[in-house]
Amino acid sequence: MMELINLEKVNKKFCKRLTYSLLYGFMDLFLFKPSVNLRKHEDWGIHNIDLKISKGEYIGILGKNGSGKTTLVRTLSGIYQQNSGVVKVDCKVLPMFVGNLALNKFYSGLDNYYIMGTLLGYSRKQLTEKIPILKDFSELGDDLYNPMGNYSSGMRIRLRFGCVKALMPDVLIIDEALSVTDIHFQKKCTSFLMEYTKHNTVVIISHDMSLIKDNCRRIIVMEKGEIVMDTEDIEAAINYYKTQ
Amino acid sequence: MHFWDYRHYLLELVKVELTQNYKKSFLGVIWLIILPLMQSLVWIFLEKTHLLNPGILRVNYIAFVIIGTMSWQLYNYSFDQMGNSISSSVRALMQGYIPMILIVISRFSLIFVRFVLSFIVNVIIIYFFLDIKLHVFSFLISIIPLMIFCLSIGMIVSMIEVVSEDLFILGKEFNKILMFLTPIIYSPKVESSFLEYIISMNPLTYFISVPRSFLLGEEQTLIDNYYKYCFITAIFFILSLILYTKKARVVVEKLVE
Repeated sequence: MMELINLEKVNKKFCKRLTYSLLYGFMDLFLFKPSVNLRKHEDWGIHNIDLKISKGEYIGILGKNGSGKTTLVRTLSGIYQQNSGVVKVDCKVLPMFVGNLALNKFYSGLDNYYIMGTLLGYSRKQLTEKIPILKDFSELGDDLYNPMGNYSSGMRIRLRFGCVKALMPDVLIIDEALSVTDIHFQKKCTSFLMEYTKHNTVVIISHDMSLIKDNCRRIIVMEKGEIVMDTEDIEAAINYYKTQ
Repeated sequence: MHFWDYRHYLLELVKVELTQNYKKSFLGVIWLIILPLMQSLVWIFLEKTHLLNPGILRVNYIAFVIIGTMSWQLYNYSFDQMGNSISSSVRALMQGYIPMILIVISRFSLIFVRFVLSFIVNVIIIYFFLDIKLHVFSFLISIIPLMIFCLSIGMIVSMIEVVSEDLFILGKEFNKILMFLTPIIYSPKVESSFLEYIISMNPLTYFISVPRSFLLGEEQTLIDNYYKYCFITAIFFILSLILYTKKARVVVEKLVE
């Protein structure tokens, strides 16, 4: 299978105290070699991560709150820069987090679609041609032309999935974003994702075990910032996670 | 994705920068023209009604002040608006990997467009109301170092603002003092030798005075130091660019929700 993302010995640390965090941030700005070791009040967000993600995978990430799942997917997405290690990404990645669903609330859903699409390298002309796909999948109707500030969480997810269907990024990263939509659309999304992973990749974080069990073909279990299990044996991974 | 693949995205970011501040306004982007127009017309009004009497000068004082103020605003907007460019772009940065330089370019484009519109408005006003022959081409060439200086300052300040609000506030307060230490409404030659020394050390003295003298067809007296500061600014720009491209992403995590 074609390798899309490769993480080698990746570490990402965070500071728990705001004052120290800002101080370290200021120091790291002007130091030639920022510290890669833990300093006072710092802790690993993710530690020693080796991970390969290939085309056509459907990966579920499990772990308790604070285990490093979100830090891992934000590092994969390029939102966080690792403190040490290598992150190689040779594809278009679209993250879908509950907090990043509207780029600008005063702009319409369609404007936000254009912004998102150009981020993935599409031209405005190409994006205009794909609008019918967006409209059809999102079922947003005229709301697509309304400012995103008026959208409910569910409508934002609809827009985002409409964008995914239209833009078909190589890798889609979903962090708990499916849980805020209605059952009908959730079913539509899960069946779309199965189809989608024939040629593309999905990395999903969810506490919905049935969603993970029914769809994922590989599970990564995280604990204290480290990958403690990476397996295609879904049952075993879910049992391990439940006994954590 | 290569940097070139982000060209469409950069264009969208520029559009957002240009329009988002005016989304809640009925007049919209027309404000970009109204504000410099109002500012210049106030000075013209003061002169025509003889409320302002600066005495006998070799150049037209109103044109001197209008061009000086316009150039100062380029610096001041760069500091204020590029200064918070990273922290106000959290949502854009949460969309995935974005080359950080796009954030600063898109914000600078807003400042640049504002400056160009202000320049066009001011040139028309000076030409029609004050009847002064202007050397536009020389001005446009000689103002480039000020723009590069502003871009460099913007890159540095935008990173510092994320991790040290105190320094950003201090910088903004310092700019209020700096405005009086920059020959915007008066000549670089002042009576106090101490003040003259401080003014001579201020790069904005040269980056504002020299283009203005070119535009108004004045004799150039500061050109040697202007070249010296152009060279220093070129080095400053390269260092800022290196620092920004290598380190700006480090501060992003301090903002992520």
